[in-house]
Amino acid sequence: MIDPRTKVAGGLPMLADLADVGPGLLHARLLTAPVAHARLAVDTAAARLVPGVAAVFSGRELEAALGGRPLRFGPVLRDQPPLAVERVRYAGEPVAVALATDPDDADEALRHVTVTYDPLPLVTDPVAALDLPPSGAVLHPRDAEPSAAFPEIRLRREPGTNLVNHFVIRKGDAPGALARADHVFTDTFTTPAMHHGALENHIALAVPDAERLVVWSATQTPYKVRVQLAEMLGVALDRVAVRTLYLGGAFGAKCYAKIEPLAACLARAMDRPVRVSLDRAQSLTTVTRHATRSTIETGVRADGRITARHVTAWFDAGAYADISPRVIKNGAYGFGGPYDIDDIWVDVYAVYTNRPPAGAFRGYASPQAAFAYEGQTEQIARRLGLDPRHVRRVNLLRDGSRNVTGESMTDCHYDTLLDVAENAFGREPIPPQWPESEVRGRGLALTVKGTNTPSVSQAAVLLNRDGSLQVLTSTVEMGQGAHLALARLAAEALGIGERVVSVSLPDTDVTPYDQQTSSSRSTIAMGGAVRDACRNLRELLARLAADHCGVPAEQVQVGDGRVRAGTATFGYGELVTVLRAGQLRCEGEYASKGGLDHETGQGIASSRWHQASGAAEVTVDLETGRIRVLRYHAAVWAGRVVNPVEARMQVEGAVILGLGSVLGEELGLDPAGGQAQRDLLDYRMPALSDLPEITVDLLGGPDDEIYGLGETAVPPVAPAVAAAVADATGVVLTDLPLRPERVLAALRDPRPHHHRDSSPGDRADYERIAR
Amino acid sequence: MTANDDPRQPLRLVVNDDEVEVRPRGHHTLLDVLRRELDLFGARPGCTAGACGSCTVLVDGAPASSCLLPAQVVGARPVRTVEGLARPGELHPVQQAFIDHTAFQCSYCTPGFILTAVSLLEREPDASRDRIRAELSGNLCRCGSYVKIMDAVLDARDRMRGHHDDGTPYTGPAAGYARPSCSASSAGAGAAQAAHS
Repeated sequence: MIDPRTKVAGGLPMLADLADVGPGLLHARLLTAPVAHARLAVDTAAARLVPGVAAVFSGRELEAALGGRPLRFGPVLRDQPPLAVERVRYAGEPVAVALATDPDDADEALRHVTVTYDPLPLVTDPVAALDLPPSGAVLHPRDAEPSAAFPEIRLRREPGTNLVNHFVIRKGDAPGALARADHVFTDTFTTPAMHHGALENHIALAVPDAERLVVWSATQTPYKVRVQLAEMLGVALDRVAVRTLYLGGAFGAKCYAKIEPLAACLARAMDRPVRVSLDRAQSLTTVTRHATRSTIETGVRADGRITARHVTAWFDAGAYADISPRVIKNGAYGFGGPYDIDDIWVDVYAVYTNRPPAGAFRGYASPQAAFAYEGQTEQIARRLGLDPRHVRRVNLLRDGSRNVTGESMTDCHYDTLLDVAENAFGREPIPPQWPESEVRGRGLALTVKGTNTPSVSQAAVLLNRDGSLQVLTSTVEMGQGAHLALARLAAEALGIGERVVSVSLPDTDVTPYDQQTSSSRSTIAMGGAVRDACRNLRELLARLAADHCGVPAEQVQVGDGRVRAGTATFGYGELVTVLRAGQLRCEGEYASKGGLDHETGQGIASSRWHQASGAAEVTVDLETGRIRVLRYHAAVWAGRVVNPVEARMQVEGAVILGLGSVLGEELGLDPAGGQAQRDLLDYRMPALSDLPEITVDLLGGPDDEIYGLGETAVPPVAPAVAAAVADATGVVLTDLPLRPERVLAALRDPRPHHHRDSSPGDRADYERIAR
Repeated sequence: MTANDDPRQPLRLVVNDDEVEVRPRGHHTLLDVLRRELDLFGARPGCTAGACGSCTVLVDGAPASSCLLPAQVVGARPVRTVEGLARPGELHPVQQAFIDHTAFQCSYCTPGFILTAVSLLEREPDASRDRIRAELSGNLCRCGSYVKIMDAVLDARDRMRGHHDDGTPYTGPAAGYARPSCSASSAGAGAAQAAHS
């Protein structure tokens, strides 16, 4: 277990502090492209002459050094080279690398690399990028190989276009139901690209020997990185080991291979240990949250009941597919929200553009979807003259309802969550305004988020002769408190103290398989595996004690750290000693089932539905457009809480991340396609002075199921704040972030953009969307 | 300019009360020297632009972004890092308050927050909530532990001055802690580090 004293002494082992990984360590320094789309020629000859430099590689030269095969990686589509080859596809993409024992020498060498860029058409609008682009504007003219990391993902692609994947949901007859609806409202919402902002930048060290490669990485997904590296290098899985230490935050940025492929290739090419450590400017362009554009067409009865919905959304995947094909699946089923809609179709397109690659981000498309569907809930209520809370109430999913993927719902708590949000600030009216230029409002939002399904986690527990217990797990501890939760679950299952339980760091040579640390799944999935292992250990202890004492197994009791067999009683460790067992080891597993039909998107999308509400109170300055969030109340269905202190902090952290997304965070491009933000002065994340009063409700009790908490509270934040702004001003804002100039523009022209209340039969463009 | 044009120059620094000799190049920052030459990893690179506070150290008692400070300009001014904060067997009250309030998640930012708070409370023992909030707003925590960080620093303030805002004596954990001076030994932090393994 982590001793908290190490955290306050700066001593928690993190990869950037691992200086000694063997003799001859080389530091890699990267040269990145200043332009977003160009053909590339790299000359490294002069750079190789710089004193102290061990090697300099372009993408082409790195491939040549490793036998000439194309080097490509990606968790779904292997479309990304460790270093750009022939073509650069986003500003910030690495185009050359220099290696030296002294990183200053490598930096110096990069100053002598000559790169010429021959511009290609700049593709930045994912909607336009789908329509037969001109020559040169298709980022990946040749289709990429699939990856073994996610072999089960089926794609819907059109080779030779910028389409990464198109995910569809077809529940009922949305076109027919829209045609019959009393009202049809069409609204479009956008969200920008965002930076994850983990303070620890990406870092990886690769250490080769004759047979194998050991890769130390600050990754959330050691087993996924292992398969990605093995397939890129063309070696068996057991030839690669991936190890992690503690991570300095991750938030999805450290899911799947990022810089590990480069470190691995360099280590192989040089046959020496290589360390790749990014700076902030490089981390800002390594992976982002998807920018999105979502058009929601919803059919509604006069009383506010939603009867039909068709969503068309575009997710900007950036230059490489990364995990976009899967993100849009979660986005697609997210657009149903916590609402009971009989006829719903969803089309989500992930599209290549010349932006940095987009990937997993805390919330995994749910926040973007929630901003859109809850924004439209507000719009619908306003247009029908109804209370937005009423519109939510009459549409909620309840036990037995069929959700967007046709699953029969159980354990629904949306009514309670809506009650909590409605009462968050009491029932007293909002106090009178002062100054006059400032208006005040309250709003709420209700959201749902799934988790990675199907998924597998395996764990082992090792009982030592002194009674101490080791939990072997590949769950990555990155501040979310997973390791403490696992220790607590193991201690509880065996009736022993937490202090005698330790939790391993991941090492794919040693710790059992885990799909990944993401998706708010670890306490449920790895916790389930640990509990299973502990159950097996209790059974083993009972069997061994029965044999040893010559009593029937049913007369053996195991619990509270003791084994009672007939008249004899042993401590756990004592039994191990008496039996000369050395050490007892038991395995455990958790596997969730599910999956969606490729044609209809119907099936089991998620093993848990993470349910949340948020309530916000804001002021809006009508002269400056500035929004101030005064109070925010987060409520989540937490079920059984294993670790109350850190559970609450996870929810608070989720709220603060959400506040960043609504109030100002945006990764932009300059007109030439270059990254507009180069550091954290340009890209401002919330600090203490930006915070409202934040309160948290963890709903549930000790007899409930365990629910994930890492992301649940993110999705409501942006729509709840936007709803509060709408309450204050009468205007529903449709584009994140809610920057002052946008607020002012909307107040000047309060007609909602993209709004159409069409009469039945007016379906001119429907055919195109529904094709 | 090549690396050879920027040779390493011997430099004496006072870090956590130890006089040390290092050999940085002209462009090396104090953060470079701490991490590359002195194996002090508590100050961490986050943005290398002075925006995140992860690399905060105290120079002459005042918080400084060690990522922006050329090592050569530190001179004889004493440098304190988080490793030099605890005394043997006793954490600094700000460190202790961070533990008591679980004021961290991943803890990457924690040393920076702690040193910023230590500096403030040494200069202004009665710092108000607003003052603390403003002073700590140059440090970022992406995990979002801010609520607990405020609780911890307010508690540490009361521990260090011995009473609460309403004047009642502080009787909680670590009451009566003598205010630390810059003579704190680095052995305490080393002990805390060793305690991990």
